[in-house]
Amino acid sequence: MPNKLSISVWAALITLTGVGQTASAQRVQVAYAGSMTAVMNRGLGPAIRRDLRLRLEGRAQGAYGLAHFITSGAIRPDLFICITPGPMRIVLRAGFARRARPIARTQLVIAYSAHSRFAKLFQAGKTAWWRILEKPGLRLGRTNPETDPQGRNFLLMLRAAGQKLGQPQFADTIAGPTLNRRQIYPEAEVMARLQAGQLDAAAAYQCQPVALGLPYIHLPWPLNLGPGSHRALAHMRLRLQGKSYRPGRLVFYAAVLTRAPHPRRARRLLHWLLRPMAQSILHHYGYDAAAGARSLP
Amino acid sequence: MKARLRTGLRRLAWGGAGAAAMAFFLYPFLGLLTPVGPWQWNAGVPGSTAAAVRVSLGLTGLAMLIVIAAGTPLAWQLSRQQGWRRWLWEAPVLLSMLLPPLALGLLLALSLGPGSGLGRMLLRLGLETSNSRLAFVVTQIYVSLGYYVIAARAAFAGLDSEWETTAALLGQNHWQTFRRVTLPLARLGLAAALSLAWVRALGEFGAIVITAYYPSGMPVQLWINLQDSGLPGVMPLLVLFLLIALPLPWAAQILAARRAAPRS
Repeated sequence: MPNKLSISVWAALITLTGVGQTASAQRVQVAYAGSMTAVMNRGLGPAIRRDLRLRLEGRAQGAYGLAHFITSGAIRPDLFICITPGPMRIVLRAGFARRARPIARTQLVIAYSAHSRFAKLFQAGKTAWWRILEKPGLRLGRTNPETDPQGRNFLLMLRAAGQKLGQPQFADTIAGPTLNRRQIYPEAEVMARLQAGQLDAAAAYQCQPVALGLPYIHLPWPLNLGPGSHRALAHMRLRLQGKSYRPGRLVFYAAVLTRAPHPRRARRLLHWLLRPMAQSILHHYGYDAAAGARSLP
Repeated sequence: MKARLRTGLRRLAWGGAGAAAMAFFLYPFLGLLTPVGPWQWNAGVPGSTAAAVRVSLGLTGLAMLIVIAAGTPLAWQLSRQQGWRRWLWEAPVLLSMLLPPLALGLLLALSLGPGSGLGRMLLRLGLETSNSRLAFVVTQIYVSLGYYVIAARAAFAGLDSEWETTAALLGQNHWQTFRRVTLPLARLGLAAALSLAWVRALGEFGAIVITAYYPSGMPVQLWINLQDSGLPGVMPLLVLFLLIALPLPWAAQILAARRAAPRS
């Protein structure tokens, strides 16, 4: 009971748990897109500690959510990294960052489960990807297109594929209704369900299956939304809840935030991310170089 | 004969219903048998599991001490209130419990975070109120205090006030009566209240993921591992979580029951 607790016990606990800790000298806080968790935790984090002597404290969440957290003042990281220009524009327009640099790029792929009965078909590479997705009984996973850019990009890719194949109904055949509750899961759950064999295949950014060791197949350009694809697919539109969306550029942008508690550390980190060491780590985790992508705004 | 048969059937029905409920509770644990590949104890980051356990146990322990210190007098006070006064005192407590954790996390981040007046003031004193141990403990206290207070209030309210009256007649002052009579009598209920608060705080995710992603306690680490390595990184932490969360509530119940036994 509290009356029996001596002051020394309280002091020991407070010291032990470090609740009264003052701002740590060497930490740098980065808010980043959830799909980057593996490369941040296992690849970049240890290298940043070694090269820059900074302790990376990451916050991995949906990039749009993070952008709104930042502009509302609920969180105050040093650096913000997101995929596609959309979330970064929210931060830039609100004046919370001045410039965002492209640091890497990824592409849309189809990840599949090694336990799936369709795994051999994917692996053999003899059947076209769209023919496999059309197979009856294939359990496909994707993210919510209303809230997640990846979900939107996948639907746009299916529609573009339908145009190329001369099958206007292709996207509807594969994805069903826009909010198909048999296919839609949160991003981390899609990958987890693939691992557990509850899904046969899923839309993914290349860096996701690479980090988890899941097998995947490439999509042909421009359906993979690789460099220059947004121009090739400029005519594509997806209308959701009264808004019109175009295929996104799958570029990772990083920006030092104007209210960063440690702006100097954030700038050092951003410069380091563009250097060969960081780029080779990114490459190892399935990211491509951002060559050709322009800074924002 | 008929009566015996009826009793037997009734017992069987109750037993069956109980067994079905138990099976329902235990069923999700079959998920642990899912073949997801070799379990990764640190999800690729050495020491991350041990750090998450340390953070969860240390900081939740500290939060519980504060919950006991702040919640016990409040619960006792609540148990002595009647009518509208009681509702007035209880309203803020219930409010803290009714809010969805995510909404609570957002409110805490906005009101206590670096963008708020209090957050700025504390930051000037060197205390960070976002992504810090302080934010972690404050969030845990907020999410669990209500549960402790409501359960502890019920424990105090269930006491026979004659014992306290007798103690007062024997010359014990308020504090002595509370310490020597009320607290020991309510021990079992208070242990249950503490167990509830402990489990609530230890498992908190929705609010903590907003206010204190760092230092990552076990629920946030589970989320990180899920995004980092998928299920092979989650499974070991799940087992560890169970092993760590269970002993305190069990120990508290057993200890309280043993000490209460001679009186019953």
